[in-house]
Amino acid sequence: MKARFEELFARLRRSGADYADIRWVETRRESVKIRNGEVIGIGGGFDRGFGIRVIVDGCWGFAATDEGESGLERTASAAVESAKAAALTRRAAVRLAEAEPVTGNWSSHFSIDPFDVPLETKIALLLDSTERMRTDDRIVSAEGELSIYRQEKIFASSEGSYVEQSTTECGGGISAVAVSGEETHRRSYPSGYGGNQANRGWEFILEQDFSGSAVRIRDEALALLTAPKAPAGFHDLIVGASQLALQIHESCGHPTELDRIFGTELSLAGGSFLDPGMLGKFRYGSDRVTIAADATVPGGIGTFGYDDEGTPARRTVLVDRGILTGFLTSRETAEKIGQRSGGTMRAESWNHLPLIRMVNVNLDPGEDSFENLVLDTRKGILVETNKAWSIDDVRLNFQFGCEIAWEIENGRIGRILKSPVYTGITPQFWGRCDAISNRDAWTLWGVPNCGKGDPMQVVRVAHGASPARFHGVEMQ
Amino acid sequence: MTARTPGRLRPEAELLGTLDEALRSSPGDEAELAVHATVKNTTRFASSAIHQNSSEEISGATARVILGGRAGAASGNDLSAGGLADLLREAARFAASSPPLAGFRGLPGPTPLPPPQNPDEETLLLSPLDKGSRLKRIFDLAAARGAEMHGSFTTLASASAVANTRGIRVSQSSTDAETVLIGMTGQPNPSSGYASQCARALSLLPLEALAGEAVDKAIAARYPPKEIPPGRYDVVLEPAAISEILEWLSLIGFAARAFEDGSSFLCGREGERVTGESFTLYDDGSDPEGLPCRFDGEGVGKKKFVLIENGIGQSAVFDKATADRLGREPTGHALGARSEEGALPTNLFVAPGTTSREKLIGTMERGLWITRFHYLNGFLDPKQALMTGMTRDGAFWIEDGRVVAPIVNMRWTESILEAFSRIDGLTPDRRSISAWWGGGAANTVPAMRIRGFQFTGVSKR
Repeated sequence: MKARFEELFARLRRSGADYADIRWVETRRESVKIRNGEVIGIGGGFDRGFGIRVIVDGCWGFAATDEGESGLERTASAAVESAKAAALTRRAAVRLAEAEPVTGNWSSHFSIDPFDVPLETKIALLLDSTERMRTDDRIVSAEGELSIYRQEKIFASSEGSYVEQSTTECGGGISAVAVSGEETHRRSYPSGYGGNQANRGWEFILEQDFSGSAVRIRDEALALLTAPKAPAGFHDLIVGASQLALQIHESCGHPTELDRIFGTELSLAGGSFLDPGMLGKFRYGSDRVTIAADATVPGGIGTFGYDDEGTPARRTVLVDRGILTGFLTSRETAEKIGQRSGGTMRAESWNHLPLIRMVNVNLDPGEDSFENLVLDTRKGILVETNKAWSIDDVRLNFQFGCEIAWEIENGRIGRILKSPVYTGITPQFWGRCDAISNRDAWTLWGVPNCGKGDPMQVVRVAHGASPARFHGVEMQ
Repeated sequence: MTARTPGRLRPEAELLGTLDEALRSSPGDEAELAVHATVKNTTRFASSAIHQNSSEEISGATARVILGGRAGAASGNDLSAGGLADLLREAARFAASSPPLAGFRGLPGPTPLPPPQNPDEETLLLSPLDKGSRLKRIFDLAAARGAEMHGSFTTLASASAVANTRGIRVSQSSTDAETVLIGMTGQPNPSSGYASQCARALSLLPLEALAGEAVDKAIAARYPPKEIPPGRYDVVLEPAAISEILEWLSLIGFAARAFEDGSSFLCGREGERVTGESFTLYDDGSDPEGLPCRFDGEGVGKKKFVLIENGIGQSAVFDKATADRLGREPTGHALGARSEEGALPTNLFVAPGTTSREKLIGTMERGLWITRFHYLNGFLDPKQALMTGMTRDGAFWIEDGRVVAPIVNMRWTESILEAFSRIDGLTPDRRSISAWWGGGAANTVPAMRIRGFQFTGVSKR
């Protein structure tokens, strides 16, 4: 395919392209979903195609086709035509930060290929765990799901890069919905909305041990039916690791995307409260808070060898002991702030233009154990598992609802509280972080449904976190 | 893979012929194929310059096979007869591994369809250069008023077909054009205003008028914003704001999955009052005022389907498998064999009222006029339809019927069922707004006034 791409780049140069890249992407998926003892969804998906990106007359153009190699030249012409149309409104020519051409292969690691595991095994695993939750009439829905994903892609650029990559992921989870009168409560394991996902093989599913957690999840859902409401007011809040993953996602990951900061997402996803002038000066959180974008962490679904501009995976510290030190960047946006790309350009598939996306954006662990964090809390509330999320268009004012909370009194976890909702302003909230649990409680959480762009692209990202405490947080 | 002809939709007869050929040798007791061939051209711009101009040719196919009461599904993007045959075999493999579905009575049979809507040639043939020229015109108009434009302008053309071994054999061709426009002004008081709309044809999308509306709002907001303390305020919500609420209401209330898992506010409340009398919500894929669609993902015909009538909850929507499990009938809202939600209303309409927008605002003593929301979430308490969200791009404080000042964006947290019980006016005119999940989904809604909408926080901009 390399020779075919080189021919295409030569043709594109003759058409006026100063730069061009092409991605060939093939994606395979498989999923199984169980509800109340029935397989309500089982199936697979497979698609492939080409996406071609060019710079002509100082503007980007992009076109994609699933026709196959026979459609390449026509698609290349469409990309050139799109760029020329964009040039009608050009205000400044696109410039890319310098990058050395790369050649390489990269594959994610797995021990057991999840596509090789028989469907019957997958169904049996979900049936076993969900049946354990169906022992009380108030459990109206017991669900389990597995999803498996493999993406193979080739990236080539007119600058001489040629990269082949293969990523295999799998994940899943279980949940129980308990209903009594007007009360409806869901508990999920290991996290909500499809469970946890990893850049690993079937061994990851086995480690999750759904069946071992099913009874606890059922009992918590039932307990929520009669639990008191988590109290409104200002409380010391311990945010559990999977909820903290979403907090990082919404209030640290998205605001540090440099395309968003430069306004190109204003019409849809919104902007950011940050600007490049804050780099190295702005206090994002307390001294305890260090957050890095790291596409090299083994097992994360934001892990890869090269991004979709061919930039090798790397680690960029976004917040260093509370101070803003970095952004998520592309070659185009990095050039505007005098840097090289941080390697965070990602496209959902062949038909999407790469955008700046999160990779694995992780909160560094603290030094003390989770047990000591609780022991050290005289009065507070522990919240876990995201239920609802909302944040404003510049990523300042947020509100999160969780599935469950526990009262903490004199260093001990006490009774269950229902419907916890907390709210805050991003830098104020992170500024209230006064303790983070250590690496023993640190988990990498896959978020496979990060939406951005138009057409909407759903990209797979991850966040490493351990439970952390925030002083005086407003609960509603 | 099948070669495409630029500027032409795949002929429906060709799609149906390929489905027939593939289904003739399908494995299993029953089989279904749903396909589409789509061209989507998206132009995005910021600061009155196009920064993304993309053209996608996308095909999609979904196969479902029933084998001894077991169902399996597979999806792909090869629409050739051979590709579809492979897909059917893959679906059969999944079916063979699955236990039988309790209560499943098989794939749906033929139902009446609304008449076809011809695709719009102008929309289909709009070139990137023509599109760029139209946008340059609105950028120039905005610049003359001291504003810059951000947003998107998308055209889409699609041919689709569904066939199954129970006699369903349906097809359609459609176009749509949609735009999102944000006018922005600069220092000393940066401000933004918003307008959006979608239509089945380019000629029905008033691009320049919408741009003017967005710039009008941005200019009106070009003053120091007023910080309003949290509390209950009367609000006039524009169609874009209502549309976002309806998307969540669909997902948590009317979707087959929500109804089946017991989390829908309609569970046990069909036939009971759920909102005020002035609120009627229906789904109608046959109405050309929205983005018309003849059939759902299983090939079942679209028709007017009432969800809430004068405040009384009527029904959720169902695909065939969920309908069979629950002893219901499919309603023409199936999303397709691989969807998690099962069925969702995607052509929503709110019945209009009789009060003009000017009167709704002009008779408000104190309150807020809100253009759109940001980042709604309806999972807080689905049984109460408790939602939260932020104001954005054009929110104003009203006193004695007049705009006094833009506001610092506010967070609201409110039971939408309760809020819709306090509607005291709807406009007679409606606007179609493209739904978040795309795919030809649109909500056609009026503006409305609601008494005592609950605001719970303020941003710090």
